[in-house]
Amino acid sequence: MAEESLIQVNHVKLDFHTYAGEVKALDDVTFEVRKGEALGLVGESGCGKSVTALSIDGLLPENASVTNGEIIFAGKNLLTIKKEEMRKIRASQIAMVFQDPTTFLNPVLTIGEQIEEVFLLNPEHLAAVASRDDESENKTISNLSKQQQKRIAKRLSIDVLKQVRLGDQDRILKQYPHELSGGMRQRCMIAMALARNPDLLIADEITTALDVTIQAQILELLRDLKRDFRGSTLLITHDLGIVAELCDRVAVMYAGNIVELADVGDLFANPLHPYTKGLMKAIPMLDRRMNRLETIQGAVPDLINPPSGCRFHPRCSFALEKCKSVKPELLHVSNSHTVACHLYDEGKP
Amino acid sequence: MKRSNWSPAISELKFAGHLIVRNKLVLVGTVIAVAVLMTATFSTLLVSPAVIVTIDLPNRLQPPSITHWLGTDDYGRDLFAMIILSTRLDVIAMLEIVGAGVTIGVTLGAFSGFLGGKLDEALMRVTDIFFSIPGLILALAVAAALGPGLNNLILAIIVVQWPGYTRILRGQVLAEKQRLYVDALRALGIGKVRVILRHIIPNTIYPVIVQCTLDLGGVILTFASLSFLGFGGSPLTPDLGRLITAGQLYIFQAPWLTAFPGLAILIISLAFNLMGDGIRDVLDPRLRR
Amino acid sequence: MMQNILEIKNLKKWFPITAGLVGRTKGYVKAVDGVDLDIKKGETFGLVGESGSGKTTLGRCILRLIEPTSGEMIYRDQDITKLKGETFRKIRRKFGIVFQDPYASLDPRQTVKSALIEPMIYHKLTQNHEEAIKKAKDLIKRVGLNEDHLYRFPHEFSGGQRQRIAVARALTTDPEIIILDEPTSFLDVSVQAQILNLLSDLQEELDLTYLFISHNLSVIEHMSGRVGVMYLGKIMEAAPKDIVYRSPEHPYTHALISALPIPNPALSQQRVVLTGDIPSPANIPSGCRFRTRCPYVKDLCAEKEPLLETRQPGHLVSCHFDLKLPPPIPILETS
Repeated sequence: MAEESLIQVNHVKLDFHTYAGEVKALDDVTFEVRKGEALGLVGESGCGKSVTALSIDGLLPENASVTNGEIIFAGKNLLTIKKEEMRKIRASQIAMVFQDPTTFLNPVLTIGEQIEEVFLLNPEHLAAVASRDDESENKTISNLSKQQQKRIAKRLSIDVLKQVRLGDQDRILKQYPHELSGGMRQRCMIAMALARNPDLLIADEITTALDVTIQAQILELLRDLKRDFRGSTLLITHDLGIVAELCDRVAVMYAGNIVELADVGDLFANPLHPYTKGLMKAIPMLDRRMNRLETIQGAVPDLINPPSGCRFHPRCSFALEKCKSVKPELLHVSNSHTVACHLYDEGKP
Repeated sequence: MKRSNWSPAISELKFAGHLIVRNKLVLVGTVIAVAVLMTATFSTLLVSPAVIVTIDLPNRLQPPSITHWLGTDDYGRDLFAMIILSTRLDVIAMLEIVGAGVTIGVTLGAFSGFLGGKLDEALMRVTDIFFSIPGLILALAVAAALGPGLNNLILAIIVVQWPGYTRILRGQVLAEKQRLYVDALRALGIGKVRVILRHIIPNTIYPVIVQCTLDLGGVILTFASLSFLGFGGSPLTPDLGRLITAGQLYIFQAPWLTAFPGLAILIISLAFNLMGDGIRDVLDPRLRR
Repeated sequence: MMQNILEIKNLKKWFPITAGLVGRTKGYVKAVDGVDLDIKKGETFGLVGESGSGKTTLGRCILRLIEPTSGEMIYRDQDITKLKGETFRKIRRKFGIVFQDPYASLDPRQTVKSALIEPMIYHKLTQNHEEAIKKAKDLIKRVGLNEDHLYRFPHEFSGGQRQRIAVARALTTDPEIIILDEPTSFLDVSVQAQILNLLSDLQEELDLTYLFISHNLSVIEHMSGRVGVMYLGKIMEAAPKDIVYRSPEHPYTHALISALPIPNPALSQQRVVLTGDIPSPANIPSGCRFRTRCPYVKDLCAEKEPLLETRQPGHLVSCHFDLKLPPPIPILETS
């Protein structure tokens, strides 16, 4: 797998203007998603992982302002391009799937109409499919009638529903979102994302709202899709189990910063950042026996008045004097493992 | 935001005050309303109540002048003094009516809404009946049935007011009783009565407070109207409606006798309306719980 | 002493579905459909299930926040199913509850102090006001907060702190059993650990019995001694946790445990994936309610409903067949 970069997030700093004050949601977020990989973005609530995803997909709310940094994708800075361009990118290059399918799917349109709409927004793709079918004629967009476009779109919709392991596709295409169960709606969302044939798929806590056995179905699906899906995935979750199963590399976020980034095996075998270590010890895991869970003292900081220096220092049992005033940078500890912690400055163990 | 150690109610009131000051019309209304209340309270200090029984026939029906700012009535009494004294009665009546209406309405609404069942159904049908008759007509009918007298008039208007508050509060209570903390209290064995009085009512009373400030203006109008028609008080305890009744005999000779009391009613009613509007606008976003 | 402190026999809670102007009963949502459960003094019984399992409804029935449709609940040899009045109020004190949503379980207009002393004063558990305040101070410290937190309002606290307050409040009536209804589901992982540790400590200090309801299998495994698995209103399997997690005998339990993603990338998971969706409790399949998704279904399953039977001492299973299932998670070998 070539380690070519698909999207680079560089030193992004973002604030939210609220009545209560400025929420410094993203402090200095830097990472890249490589072509063909599945990158996990892990953290607890308020760490900024969803905000990061929204920044990439151009869906930030009105009161957000990016005060520093850039997001480079296909040679463009997604934070500064025009809305029209972003919309085009969202139509065919970056697709996002959310936690709650009920708010994402339009309740007054059938599933078929919604999936087909995605295909119809991409007429070049339809033309390409048409040409493949009928090699005698070179079809271009102008040659394709509306009816033909719809027919191809419908066919592709059925294909993509098969891809997400939904049977009885014809019937589902005619149904409305409320007629389907949570798991099926989630699959439809994934189908709509795949319909775009995106280069980057962003999945934001897509299994959090599902029951355990339904989550298992979706995880199996994602595992299988990983084999066939050519693009990259940015998987956002708070569940380390899902990360261990589906991701190639993992980035750990805390209070608006990436604190550690490593290959998945490395991260679990050898977590470096005190927060990562604390997180792993705090989770009850089936293959460990413990009477008490080790806790990280304190609570997630208030982002209107975040701690100075390293934002984790008030809760860190290894905090040095330096941590209170100097923010640590993401440094390489090895080829595949970076961490933002003063304990590892200059490669100290 | 600085951590407030104060009750949520106090910080809300502070925010409310802040918003009221910002809207000029509401501010004007509120100021006038407060002035009216002060006048009513201190009326006997401003003007001697003896004016009511002082007859000065040579000076009767005088137009407004320097000695008598608003003129005199058919007994020679200074109209300005009469208006000041009458305001007291109107304001007291208004507060009594709304106060009693709210008390009855909140109590019935809270218990009915929380306990539900057949009692609740019955109460709702009763309030339906009251709503089906236009307010003024109903008040008129009840006042006529009860007979003359100021207290009977006040009672009659209370009868018209209470169903509205009952309905509002009941609606709020129906939603509030689904809240999780109510389950927590019940699980702790806390009795229903205490839950209603100590928890449900304080959490649901906001919309009623808003509604009653909006009602103040309307109630005073109703009271004045019925008093004008002859219900209510006696000549010894004048109110603004009564003044108009007396004045209408001389409407062409001494138009000030009807105009000024009428204007007073208008200003008072409008002032309380504006104040109520301001309070509602401020508290409304908070009403959606 | 391992006596039964709470016995639940064939408990049912059916919610009628009304339709039409007259409100005819069209059918029932059978949230709890015949649950048998024994909880022993001092233990933590974990109750697991997905949506529609009825576990939350069961918790509420035990506290009589919802009245059961039929069945019995016996607390220390006393039938509490239909108890009323003063006797019932006295018994209710022996039960406590901590709810899932820390943001909604406290009256927003009440200070912490007021919330804590209210039950004590109402039930006259202390001689006077001062004693109640003293006890409140004691409790607030026990759950890891400070005395001056007593004078604050709920909105000034974080989710984890509010849950601590909720725990303190549950303890004000000196309960014996506490029902924990998903107490950490709304909390972050690091805060969850703090609360779980607190609950364990309190259990030891005060000899409490817990009914721990959750959909989170890792948390249940960590906290429980025995585990019961619910599906569509009935218990499918109940056993000590090692058996449930390492050698379950009911196919639903098996699928549930194997569904858990393990935070260890070195292990590849061969999970059991159930087909189809969870049926609605308004439309429970005939015979064995799990049959529509069971990988081992046979004809008998549609005709007859299996009973919850004791296979070995302490291990109850509701299935027609004695399935020899492989360990749901390969790394957890049966010791």
